Amino acid sequence: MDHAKTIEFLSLLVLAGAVANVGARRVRTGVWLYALQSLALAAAAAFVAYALDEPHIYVAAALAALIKGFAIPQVIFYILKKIEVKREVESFLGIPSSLLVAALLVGLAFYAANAALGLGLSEFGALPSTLLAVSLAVMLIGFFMMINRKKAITQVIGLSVMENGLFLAAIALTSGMPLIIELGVFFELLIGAMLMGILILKIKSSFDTINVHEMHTLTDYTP
Amino acid sequence: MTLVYLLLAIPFVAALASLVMPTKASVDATNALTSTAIAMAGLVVAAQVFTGLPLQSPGAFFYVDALSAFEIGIAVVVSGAAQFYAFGHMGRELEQGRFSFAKYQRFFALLNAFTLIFLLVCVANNLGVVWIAIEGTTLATAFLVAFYNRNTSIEAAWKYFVLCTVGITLALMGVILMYYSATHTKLGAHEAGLNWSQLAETAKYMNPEILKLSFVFTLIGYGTKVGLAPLHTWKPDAYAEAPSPVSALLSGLLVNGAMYGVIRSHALVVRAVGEGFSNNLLLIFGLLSLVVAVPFVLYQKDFKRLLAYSSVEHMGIIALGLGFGGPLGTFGAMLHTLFHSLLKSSLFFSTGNMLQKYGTRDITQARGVLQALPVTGPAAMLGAFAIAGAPPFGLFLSEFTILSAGFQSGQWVPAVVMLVAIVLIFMGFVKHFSRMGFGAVPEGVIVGELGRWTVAPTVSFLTISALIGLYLPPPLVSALEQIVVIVRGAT
Repeated sequence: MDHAKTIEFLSLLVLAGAVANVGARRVRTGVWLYALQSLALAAAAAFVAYALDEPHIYVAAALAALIKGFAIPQVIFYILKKIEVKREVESFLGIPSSLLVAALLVGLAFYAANAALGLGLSEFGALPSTLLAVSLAVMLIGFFMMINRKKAITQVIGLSVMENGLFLAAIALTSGMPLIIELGVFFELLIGAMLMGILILKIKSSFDTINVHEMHTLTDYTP
Repeated sequence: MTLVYLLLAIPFVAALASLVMPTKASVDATNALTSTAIAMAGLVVAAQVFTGLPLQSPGAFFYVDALSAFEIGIAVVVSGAAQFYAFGHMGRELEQGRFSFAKYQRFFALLNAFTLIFLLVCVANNLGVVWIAIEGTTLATAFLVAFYNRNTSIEAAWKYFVLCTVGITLALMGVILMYYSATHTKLGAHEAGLNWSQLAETAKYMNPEILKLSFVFTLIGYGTKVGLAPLHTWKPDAYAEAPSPVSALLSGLLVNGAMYGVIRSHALVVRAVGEGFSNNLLLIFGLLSLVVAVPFVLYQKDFKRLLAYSSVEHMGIIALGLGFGGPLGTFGAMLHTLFHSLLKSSLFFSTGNMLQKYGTRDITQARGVLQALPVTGPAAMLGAFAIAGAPPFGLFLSEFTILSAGFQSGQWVPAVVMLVAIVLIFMGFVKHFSRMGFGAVPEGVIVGELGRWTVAPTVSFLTISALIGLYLPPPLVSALEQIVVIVRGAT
């Protein structure tokens, strides 16, 4: 099969993972979907490495599989076990309307990517040009998940989805950033996930909830 | 170059040593020694760069030009002073049993980790590494904000961490787009890295449209961390909840690092398409920050939140200075960075003493500060006048420079708005601090200072900024002129 086709297919899986995550009813499902999405992302990166004959992207792909597909989900599962949180995802919009928003965001991303292509983002070589649109869509959906969800832990998932979109954009636009940058980014990602985990445990122990909308002590006009 | 390596090695050693030293006295002694060594190394590096050529390591991983050297100079002095202040401030709370000795050790380990990562922001050549390091400063400080483990401090740390991480993710998109525009130049495909030393040369060939797009992402992303409105909302919470030495570091240092990222990106856009596009964006965000800060300064009840909003204001003024552009505006913006770092950390030191004296951050309850704290009380009053822009302290000079840059280049509307906002904020500061300064000391508050370590850093920063404000030393002027050339390109 044509490499571009395979890469496009895998990137669409990444997008599907993001959309499915918006529709997830349970927190654990969300984490699994994130892990699967990350594996699809890693596979896409590996194919890009093969298509462009850029060996260092293989390293990025392996790291993506290891850290995003395995380590970060493990951290989140560990926290879930510790805080014994209720299993349902709580969000401001219901699932049908959230999915509608996600669909609108996908449309917006494709529109914006087309506009960007008009600006001169055109040399993709062996890579499908939809990659940019897909990555923007995943970023926007991740951002939306962060805003829409009430629990701190599901906000972390949103942020991680957003970073997956970014990773895809990095591959699409630069055929992989210089390796040292990628290593640094992954390292920070892992540390960041751990830090968030620890903060969530602290929130749980001092507020007895991880619902961030019950944290509203800090304002300017308290008497 | 050896000194640059030392500059990174010393805080690393200090962080580890802080964790293993067995007593408070030994932790303090170690950090007094290391922070003095860092300060000396940093100032020598800065002096070397200002009087000679940029330093570059073999392989060009590290690169220190006048702009980096300037940030290093501010960083080593402010972080050193914050550590000395912490001996007194945190030491007192340790004695009162507010936290364990293990936490005291961890506090200093994290302070040193922050200094190390901040210095890496300044000396890294690769703008991708700069991005990593700026994200690293958030990671290092998140636990410092949450240090007291109160409900409120954890809430503040969570807001801080989530907002800054989202911001920094957007900034990475900016870095990616920058890389794209550097590899897809007007002259065709180009083998390039993200090294500043290279980008500064090739910027004029970079794809201008994508570079502009990159700047938008970078400004919003790093701007979140600088605390430019409307993404400043983490600031008052984090500044108020963090221990006072940490508030001083957040306000006097951390934000400079993020602004440094914005300035580098701005400099590339200026080289590629001239002054205009990035200047206008900086103007908009700067003005918005100034205007947003005004009501929160005027009607504030918490003196640490007051200082946080003043920080939003001053970051806005720096953005305005860069936005007005030209040699004068850029010069003023950098000068403003220096004075703001010195004066704001001095103010966080003196209000830290007020906080310990009165046990509250409430403006209406802290009365008779001038009497209760015989030295740092007056220092807080003078500092408040200084931060609001009164002469002879330096901020008057830099605000005046930025305003004249605005008027001279005919940008009347933003300049007038800035003037009005500054006057209103000045009134706010006078109102709040005169209320706190005078009046009778509440019962139960013992009159007297809280130890020499909490006095010396406060007073010395105030004195330095007054001296430099009265007479700008020629070496500083020449250093700032070199920075203006770095930001605007050789013309």
